[in-house]
Amino acid sequence: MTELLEELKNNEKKTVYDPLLKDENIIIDIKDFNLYYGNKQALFKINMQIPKGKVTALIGPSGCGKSTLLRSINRLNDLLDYVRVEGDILLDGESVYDRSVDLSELRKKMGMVAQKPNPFPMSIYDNVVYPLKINGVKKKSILDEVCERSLSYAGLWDEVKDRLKENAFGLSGGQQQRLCIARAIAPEPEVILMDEPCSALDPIATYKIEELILSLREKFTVVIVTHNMQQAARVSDFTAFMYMGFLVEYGNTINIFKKPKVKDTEDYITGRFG
Amino acid sequence: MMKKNVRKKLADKIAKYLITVGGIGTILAVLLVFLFLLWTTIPLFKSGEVSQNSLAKSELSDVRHGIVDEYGLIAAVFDGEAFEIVSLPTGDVIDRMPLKFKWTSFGYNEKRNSYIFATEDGGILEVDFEFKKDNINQGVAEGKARYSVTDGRLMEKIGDQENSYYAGIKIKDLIKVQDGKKITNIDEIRNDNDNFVAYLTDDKVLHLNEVITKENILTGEISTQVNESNIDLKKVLNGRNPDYLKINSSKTTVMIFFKDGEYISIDTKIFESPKILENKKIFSDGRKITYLDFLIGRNTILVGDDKGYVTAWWPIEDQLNKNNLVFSQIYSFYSGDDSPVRFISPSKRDKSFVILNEKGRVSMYHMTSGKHLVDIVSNLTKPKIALLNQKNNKIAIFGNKGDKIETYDLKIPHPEITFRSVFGKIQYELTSKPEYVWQSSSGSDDFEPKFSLIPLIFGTIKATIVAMLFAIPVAIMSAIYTSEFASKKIRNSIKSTIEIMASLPSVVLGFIAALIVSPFVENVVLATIFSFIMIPFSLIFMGHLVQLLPKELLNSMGKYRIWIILLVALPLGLYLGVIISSFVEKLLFYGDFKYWLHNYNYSPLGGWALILLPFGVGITIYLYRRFLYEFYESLLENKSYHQAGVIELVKFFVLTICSVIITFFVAFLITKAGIDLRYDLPIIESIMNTYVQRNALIVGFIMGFAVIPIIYTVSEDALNAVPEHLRSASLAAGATQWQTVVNIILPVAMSGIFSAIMIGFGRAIGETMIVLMAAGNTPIIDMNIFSGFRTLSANIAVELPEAVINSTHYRVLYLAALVLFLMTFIINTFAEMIRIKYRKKSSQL
Repeated sequence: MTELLEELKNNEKKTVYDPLLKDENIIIDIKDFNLYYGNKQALFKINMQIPKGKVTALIGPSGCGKSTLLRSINRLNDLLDYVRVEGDILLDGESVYDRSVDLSELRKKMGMVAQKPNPFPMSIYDNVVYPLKINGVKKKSILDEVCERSLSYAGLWDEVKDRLKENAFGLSGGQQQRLCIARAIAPEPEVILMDEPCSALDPIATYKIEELILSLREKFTVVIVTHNMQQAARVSDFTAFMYMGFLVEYGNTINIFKKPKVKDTEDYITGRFG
Repeated sequence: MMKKNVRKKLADKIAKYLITVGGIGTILAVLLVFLFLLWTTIPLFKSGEVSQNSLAKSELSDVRHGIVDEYGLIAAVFDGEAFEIVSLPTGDVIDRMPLKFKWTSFGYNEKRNSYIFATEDGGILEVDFEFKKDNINQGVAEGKARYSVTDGRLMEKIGDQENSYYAGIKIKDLIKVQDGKKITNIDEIRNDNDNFVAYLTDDKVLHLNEVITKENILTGEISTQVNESNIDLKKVLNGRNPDYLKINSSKTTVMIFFKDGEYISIDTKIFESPKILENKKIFSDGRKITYLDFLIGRNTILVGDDKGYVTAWWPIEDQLNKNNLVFSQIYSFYSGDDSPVRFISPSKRDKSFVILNEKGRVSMYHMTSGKHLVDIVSNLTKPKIALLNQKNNKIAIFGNKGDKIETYDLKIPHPEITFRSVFGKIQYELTSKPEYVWQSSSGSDDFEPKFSLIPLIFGTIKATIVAMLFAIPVAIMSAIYTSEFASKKIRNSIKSTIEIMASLPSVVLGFIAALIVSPFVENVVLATIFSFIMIPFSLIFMGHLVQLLPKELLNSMGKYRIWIILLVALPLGLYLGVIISSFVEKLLFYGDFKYWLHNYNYSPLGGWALILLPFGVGITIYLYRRFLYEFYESLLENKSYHQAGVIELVKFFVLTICSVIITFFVAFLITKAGIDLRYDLPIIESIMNTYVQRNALIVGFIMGFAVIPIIYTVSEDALNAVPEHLRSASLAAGATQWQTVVNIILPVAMSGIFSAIMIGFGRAIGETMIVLMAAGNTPIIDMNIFSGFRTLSANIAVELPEAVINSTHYRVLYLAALVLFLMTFIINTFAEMIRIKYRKKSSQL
């Protein structure tokens, strides 16, 4: 472990990339990204390109920095004032970390789905149209349309269409999570960031969410953090394996799972540690 | 190992018991405080207790009037021919003084225990009584009865000692009427240095005679000045002889009554030329007067009638002409039977009196409180008079010749307290309408304490509301700032600073308020008020200005922009407050705001504009949202960031001007309608009036400081308790921090913030030192924000040290404490209930 830390600090370790990535249309470009929580470095020199219109999974053992990396993309880590970053992340070729960036504008381009379903304490309808309302959309016809479209997309419309005005806490966990997805896609973002979206759900709800993720791929770029290797294998096109804040291996999901090039990846996938 | 286990278990048990005892102890302590307060206050509402003391055989002839001594042991009774000194326990006549003159009329002076007599030959005499008590320190025979009569003295045996009671009588010639006319009615008022006698002669002329005695302090020489005047009453009296003649305490009115209810008053304010004031029948239903006397203090006339009622009368302001006083019935008391009132004995201690009716029923009432204190039916066959002693603890009833003397022991601890006299409006003596008054003590003897808690409760609520108006926005805004916007470092320093504020002793704050802030504000009243308006204005203005900066610069300023805005806006707001206030003072307040406040010739326009400004702003914002918002949005379309900023700024100015115009328009309409906020508002009377240095505004400001920390701390906790995932979900959805606060954080934390406000409320209600020092302590009900007040807590602090233990005053102060306790208890319970409910709700999130 300490050896690895030494290697990381001295920039001796190099990420192994799958060459297939070269043909893809890149939407997020992470460049030499370091992140510190106070004095502790949490991300080490991440270089990663996320392709457009695909599902990219981030896997790795607990505390490896995959959630941190995900939250760095929409700068949610900025909420903590002891966080410091180096390097840059580009969204559509524009820097996310530029000082002149308007955070709310930036985040409107990236929907986010959290680990635990986090509906707001308001009605189902208000939950879905919240991102539009804060954006100043007031016309009821537009809001109604977006609400129906997003909920249909999230596969929730038929279940809730008669009780849109009811409190969102009345839904089951899986429904709540799909509601959160509907909320994330309501403003039609470019990227959807998912932070272990199924970790709090039962297998059937998980299955439904996975189905949903697969269908989302048609319209959005999805970046998903997951603990569950099978899930990564099932839903993602590309997989990145992270370990101790370092991107160990990144490439086509089939390649990563079938013939990993790095031994750590293999150990993790086969369940030897993690 | 075993040992360790035992020790662990022991420690566990001890801790468990200690905690249980502590918890139950706390509840018990609160309960005990409550019970103690209750136990101290309950006696206030009890009515009197009576026990028959003795029934003594007497040898008296028909009694007409009398005086009982302080202890209720001996009495001087008058039967028309002689004064007899009677021992009440034994019934013996211990002394007898036959009158050596033929009298035609007599009056009684309750203050000096004296009678005044008009004699047949036109003389006026005074008979003075002095009751005395001596202690004899000699051995007393063993078998001696408790009460015995020897040598014209009543002896009372207490242990091996004896007290002797006796009365001294003094007869003094006062005036000799020159022409020897017969006097039909007489009354006098006598103080130490002057003597006022009014008498009616049989030629129906009312004579006033005033003797003023002056003593030169240096030489000791005594000079006497005699004034005389008269008024001819032939016309009004029409040959009849009046039944009662009375002079009121201020010697301004001589009142004449006939048994059929006719009343004539003579105004003697101008001594030299008295004139007839009123002449009317006081009863419209044909009742007849059967007895009439003054209540203590000679202000209230008690009229006993043949229907068994005693009515209390005094002159009150005429509703049409406030300078005109009309003799009116204020209270009515029922003697218990429909039989004529025989005798009334006013108390020499307070405003209570004893009624005796023909059926022998004795009732005692307290006039102002209306409390029915005593109800006894006499055992005598035909009781004539019932006399109350000075201490209000004995009633002696005298009957026909040869009848017995009945004495009763009374226990009337708090005659003036009823639920109504503490919480309701009471019409006090000589006032024209019922009022809420707190006035617990005064210099004069016949003063009636006034114990209405309403002015104090009002003061408490006034102080609290003004303080909360200032504290709530400041505390909650700073809680939002520290919990949602500030960095951890700034947050910690602000939090600890506010907590230091909480540790400031309130006596220091009160000191600052009374000696620094109020004298300062007194000179710059309007500038202070305008600073409160201009600081938020300049903050919003700066917010708009900052938007004009390039976006890159603005974003790179990050969190520091709040500080930069504040640094400019605060001085700017103060500066604008001073500039604009001096301008407004000249324009609307005739150059002097404080003078404008109590000069009703000046137009109230400026005051209305000042009060209505918040409403003007509210209306403007509402109208803008309702009608102009979409137009405004369309203006912003396709505009660059900078252009949008300029448009925003213009909008801000336009809306500001609109608010001012709307405010003035409404203020103008109200002014035109003739309503003045300085004196003639319905119910609340005035919002602003005469400026008092220590006033509600100052207290609100400083007490606001005292409650800010508690509201801040609790609401900051409530804001922090909002789950982080909601915050980040909102931010991740693209909301700005402010949008997140308004749409997500505040609704979720609302109940917690509400309970913070309620806890602050509870704290402000109980606050003592600040209001004590800075509120002026005037127990008045006045909505005027520039006047002082007195709160329940300050009142307790001021008056408890001087209240005699277990006196009415003392117990009423405990009642005030109980009211305060209940107020804070209810508010805190309410706050706690909401907090618990909110805790349950937030655990769902």
